[in-house]
Amino acid sequence: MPVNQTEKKQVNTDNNFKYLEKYKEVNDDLISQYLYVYQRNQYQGTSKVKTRSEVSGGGAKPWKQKGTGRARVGSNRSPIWVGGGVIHGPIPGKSYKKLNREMEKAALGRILYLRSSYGQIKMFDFEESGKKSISTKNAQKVIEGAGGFKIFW
Amino acid sequence: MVIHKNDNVIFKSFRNIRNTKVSEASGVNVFELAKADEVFIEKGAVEIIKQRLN
Repeated sequence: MPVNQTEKKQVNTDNNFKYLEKYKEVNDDLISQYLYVYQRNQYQGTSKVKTRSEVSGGGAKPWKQKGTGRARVGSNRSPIWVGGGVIHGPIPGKSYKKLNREMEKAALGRILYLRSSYGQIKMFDFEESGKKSISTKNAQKVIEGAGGFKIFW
Repeated sequence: MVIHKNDNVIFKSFRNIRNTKVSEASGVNVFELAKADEVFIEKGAVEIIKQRLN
């Protein structure tokens, strides 16, 4: 949904969404707060890289400290060397973030209110549309019949 | 696509349609609703969403 879309007059006059009127005044920032928490909690925290001390080898000094004309080096596993360790990489660990239950409810109500006010919520019913057997073919007809997108196979 | 109950037949019917995702009304979340271009709600699911908001 475009974030710069300003709140316009209510398009959807369906009675199904009358109860969402109370979410008219809810702050939109709550939705972004919810999305931040939700996406943060999707992070599995299982990625890991090896630092210079964990990469195997690197014990011997590649060349002596003085007299070669080359830069001084102590290990071939230095982060600035190819094949060396990685600095500031991810380490395993997961932290959960939490949103209060009332805030979650308000965010859900607000997004539904916004969606309905833009006319982006479509209602459908398999039985009412005369499609008693549920199949992909009928599902396509239901989507297109409810004013949804055109499906190309 | 928000449906009122976990119906495997409905899931299977919609899974071969591109860019659609079916969610149960009791589990649909703000992320899914915000991400979708269009939201389809089954009539029976409205009551469940209402209960979740109360």
